[in-house]
Amino acid sequence: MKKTAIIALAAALVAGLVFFFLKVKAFSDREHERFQATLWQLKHLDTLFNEVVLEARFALADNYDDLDADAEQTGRTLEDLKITPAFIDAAGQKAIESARLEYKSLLAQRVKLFERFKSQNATLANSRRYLPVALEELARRLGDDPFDRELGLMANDLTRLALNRLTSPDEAPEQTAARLNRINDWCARHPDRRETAFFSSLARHARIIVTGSGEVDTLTRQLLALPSEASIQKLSQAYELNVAQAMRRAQQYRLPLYVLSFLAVVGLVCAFWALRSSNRRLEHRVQERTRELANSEERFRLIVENVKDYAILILDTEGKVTSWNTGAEKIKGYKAEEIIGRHFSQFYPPEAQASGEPQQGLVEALAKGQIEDEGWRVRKDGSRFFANVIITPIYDALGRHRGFGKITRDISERKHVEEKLADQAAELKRSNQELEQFAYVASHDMREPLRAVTGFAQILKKNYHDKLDKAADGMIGHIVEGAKRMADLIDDLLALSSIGAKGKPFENSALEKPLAVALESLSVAIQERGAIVRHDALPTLPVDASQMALLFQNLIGNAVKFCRDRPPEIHIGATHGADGFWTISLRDNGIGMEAKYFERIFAMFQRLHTRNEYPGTGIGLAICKKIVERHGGRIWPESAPGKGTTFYFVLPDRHTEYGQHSTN
Amino acid sequence: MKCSPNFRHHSRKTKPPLAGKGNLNICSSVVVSLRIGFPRLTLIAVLCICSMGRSLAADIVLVADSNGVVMTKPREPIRPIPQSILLDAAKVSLGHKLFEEKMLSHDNTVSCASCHDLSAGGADHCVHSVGIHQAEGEINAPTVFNSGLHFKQFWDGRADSLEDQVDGPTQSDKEMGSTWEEIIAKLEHSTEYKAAFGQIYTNGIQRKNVKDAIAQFERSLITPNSRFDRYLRGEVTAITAEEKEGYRKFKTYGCITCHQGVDVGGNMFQPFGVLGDYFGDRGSVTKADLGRFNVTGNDEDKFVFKVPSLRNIALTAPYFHDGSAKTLEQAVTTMAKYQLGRELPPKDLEQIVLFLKTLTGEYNGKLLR
Repeated sequence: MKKTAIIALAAALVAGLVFFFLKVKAFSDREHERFQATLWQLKHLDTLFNEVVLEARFALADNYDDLDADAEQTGRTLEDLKITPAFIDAAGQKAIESARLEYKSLLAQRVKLFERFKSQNATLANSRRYLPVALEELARRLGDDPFDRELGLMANDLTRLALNRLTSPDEAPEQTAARLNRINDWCARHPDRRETAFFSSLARHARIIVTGSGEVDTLTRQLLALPSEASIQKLSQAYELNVAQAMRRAQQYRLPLYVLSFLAVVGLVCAFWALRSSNRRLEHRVQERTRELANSEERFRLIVENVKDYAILILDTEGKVTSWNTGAEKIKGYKAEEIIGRHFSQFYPPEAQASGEPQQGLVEALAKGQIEDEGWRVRKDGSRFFANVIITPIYDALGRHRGFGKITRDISERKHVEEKLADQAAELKRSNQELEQFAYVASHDMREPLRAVTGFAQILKKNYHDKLDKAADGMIGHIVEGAKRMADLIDDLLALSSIGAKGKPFENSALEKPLAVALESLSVAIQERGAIVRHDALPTLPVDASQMALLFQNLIGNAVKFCRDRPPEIHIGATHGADGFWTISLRDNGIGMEAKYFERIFAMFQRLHTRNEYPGTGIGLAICKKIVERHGGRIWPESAPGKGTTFYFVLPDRHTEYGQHSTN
Repeated sequence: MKCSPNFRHHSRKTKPPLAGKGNLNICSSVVVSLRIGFPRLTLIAVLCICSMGRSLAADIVLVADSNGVVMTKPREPIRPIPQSILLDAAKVSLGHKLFEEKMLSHDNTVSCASCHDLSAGGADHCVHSVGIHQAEGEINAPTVFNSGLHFKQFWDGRADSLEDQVDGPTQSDKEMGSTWEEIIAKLEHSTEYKAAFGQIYTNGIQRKNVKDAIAQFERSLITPNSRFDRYLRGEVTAITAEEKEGYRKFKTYGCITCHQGVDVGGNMFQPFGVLGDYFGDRGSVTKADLGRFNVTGNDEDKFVFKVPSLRNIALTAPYFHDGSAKTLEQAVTTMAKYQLGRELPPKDLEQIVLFLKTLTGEYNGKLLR
C-alpha cells in the first residue's frame, strides 16, 4: 500500500513538473528573437527604401537593381513573418496576420508607385541632364547668328525652366506655363527656321522637367506617405502585446514549477538516501550469505574431494565428466585434468560400451530418478574392479536437467569375501550332508550285523543259560546287554541323522497331537513312575509333527527318567511373544543340574551321569536341539540342582526362511 | 519596440549589414554544400564573384592597372553579370531538355528553342516569330539570355517571374498552342521524362514542376565576361579607347538613365516615344503596340514597355517590340530621337554602337556569336 502511494505521488509530481515546465517553456525565447529580428529587418528595409527613394530623385544616373532587390527582400521578409511564434494564441495570431496583410497591401501599392516613379524619374533625370547641355549648345549657336531678341528671350525662358524644380518653385505655375507657350508659339510661327526642331525638342524637355518634376514629387510624396511605418508599428505593437501576454501566462506557472522542483529535489534526496541505506543493508546481507555459502560450499567441496573410498563425479547431460574427486582418482586411476570433459563410458569394459550400457544407464536414471548397478569397471591401467554405482540425475531450481551425479564404490574386496563365504558355506553344507549320510548309512548298515549279534547272543543266552558256568552266563549277559545298548545307540544315531536327511515338510498342526503321540509311546514308563503330565493349551504351528512328537518324547522321557524318589510332575506351557515366536516350556520337578552343564547336555554322547545311575545313549537332547533348530527355533534349559529343570524352546508361528531352506 | 541601432543609421552609401550578411550566407552555403558533397546540387559553377550582390559594392573601386599601380575608379551604373549562380544542375539539365522539347507545342512542331535559339543570341532574327500552323506572332521575340536578371518578363511585363512566363508561349495560339493538360499528358507518356521528373520532384510531372525546371534552366542562361564586364572588373584594356568613348557618350546622351543595372535595362518600364510620337510616325498601331496598357488597362500605360536589356544587343537584331529596327545604328538613332529628343552626330552614333558591341558575353565559357 505504502509503495503504491509513493509511486502515485512520484508520478503526480513528475506530471506536475512536466505540465508546469511546458507551460513556462511555452514562451520560446528563440522564436521570439527570430520574429523580433525579422520585424526589425522589415523596419530597416522600410526605412532604407524611403531613404533610397528620396535620394533617387537627385541621382542623375544610378541603377535601380538595388531598389528592386530591396523590394524583393522586403517581400521575403514579410513572408517570414507569416510564421508567428507558437506561444501566441489564435486571437493574437489573427491580429498579427491582419496587420501583416495590411502592410502587404501597402507594399503592393508601393511596388506599383515605384514602377511609375522609376519611369518618371528616369525621364526627368534625362531631361535635367540634357537641358543645361542643350542651353550651352544654344548659346554657341546664338553666338554664330546675328542677335535675335526672341531667341534670346526663349533661351532665358529655357534657362528658367531648366532651373524649375531644382530648388523650390519660385515661379507661379502660370508664369512657367507662359514661358513654355512662348517657345511653342515661336516654333509654330517659324516652322521653316532651322532652329525650330531644336527648340521644339528643348520645349519638350522643359515640359518634362516642369510636369515630370511635379509628378515625381507627387509620386515621392505618395511613396513616402504610404503609412508603411505606422503599419509596421501596428504589426509590432500587436506582436508586443501578445508577447507580453504570453510572458505573463508563462510567468503564472513559474512559482508552482519552482515549488514542485524543490519538492522533487527533496524527494530525490530522500529516495537516494533510502535507496542507499537499503542498498547497504542488502549488500551486507548478501556478503554474509555469500560468506556462509562459500564456507558451506568449501566444506562440502572438501568433503567430496577428500572422500577416498567413493568416486564422486558429476556428469553433464550427455555424460561427460565435469567434476572429479580424490576418491575417483584413487579408484579409477585418472587425474582430474585427464578425465574432465571425457565421456564416462570409458569406465565400462569394451563389451558393455558396445552394448550401449552406459547410455542406457543414464536414460534409466532419468526415467527412474536413480539407478543402482553393480558390475565390472575398468581402471585407467586397464585392470578391472567390481563396482557399485549409483547414478542420480541433477536438476536445477527451475527443474531443468543439468546432469548426473555418479557415486562409484570399489566393492571388489567385499565381493571376494562374499564369494569365499558362499564357497565355504556350500562346502560346509556338503560335508555336513556327507556326514549325515555317512552317519545314516553307518547306523543303518550297522544294524544288520548288530541284529545278528543280538539275535545270536539272545539265542545263546536262552539255549545255554545255566549250561555253562556262571562266568559264562555273566559274559553272555554282558554280550546281550552290550548288543542291546549298541542297538539303542544306533537307533538314536539313526534318528538324529534322519532329522536332517529324512525330515518331512512343515505342516500346520496342533502341538497337542505330537504331545499325545509322545505320551502314548512313554505310557509304560509314566505308569511305572506314576508321573503326572499336565499341559496348557498348545498352539497350532507349522511343524514336522513326527519330529515334534520325538522332541516331546525325549524331553518328557528325560523328565520321567531324571526324577528323584518322588513321582515326577511335568507341566507343559506355551506363551506367545510379540516377536511372533511361541515359547514352549516343559517344567519338571526332577534332579536339576548346574548351570555349567547347560551347554554340554546338548552335545552328542555327553552324559552327566553314569549309565548305571540313569540309562540312556546321550543323544536325546542332541536330537531335541537339532529338531528345534530345524524349525528355526532354539532350545535352552533353566535349572539348578534339586530344583527341577525347565526346558524352553521357541518356535516361529510361520514358515521362516531358514525353515524353508532346510526343508529343501 | 526599439529599432536596433545597427539598422538605423545607414544609407545606400554605407552598406546595410543584413544584405551583406545575406550574401555571405550564399557564399557559405556554397562552401558547405561542396564540402558535404550534396549529390543533386551539382553547382553550375561555384566561383561566387562578390560583385553579384552588394557585399563589396562601394562608391570607389580599387583597380590595378597594367603597371600594377592601384588607382581609383568611380562606381558605374552598369554592373557586371555574375560569373556563376547557384542552381540545381539536375533541374537545369531537365529544363534544358524541356526547352528544346517540341512536345510542349500542340502539334509537336515548335519548342522554346525554335524562337529562342541559343546559337542565335537567344532569339530568332525574325521580326515576328512563327508558331504552330505557321501562325505569325504579334511581337518581336526577345532574347532568352539573361532573362533571369529582368525584373519582369515579356515586353509588357505581364509575368512577374520566369515560372509565370512559361504559361505564355505554351498556351498562346500563335506560339505553341497547347494546354497544360496536353503537355502533362504528353510528358507522362515518355518514360524518360517520367524518370527524370521522378528523380527531382517527389510528385513527378506537374505543371508547377515543368515550369520550375524550365525557369531554372533559363536562369542559367547568363552571359558573363563580356569585354565591357571585364573592363568594369578592372581590366582596363578590355575595351578600346573608342569603345570607352562610346560608353561615355552612352552616359552623357542619357541612354544610361534607363539602360542601367546589371542587365543594362530590364528593370523599369518606359513609354516608347517620350520625346516624339513614335507610333504616329510609324503608323498602323496594333494591339501589341499598346504595351503595358494590355496588362493594367490604365491609359497612362499605353505604349509603355519594359526597357529591354542591351546585353548581347549586337546579336539580337531586329530591334524593338515591333522588330522595326534592322540594325543597331537604326535602333540607336530611333531611341535617341524618340526617347532622348536628340539627333546623334555620326561619330557619336558609331562610338555608341561600338560600345554596345562590347556587351556581348559568354555562354558556357564561349563567346556568343
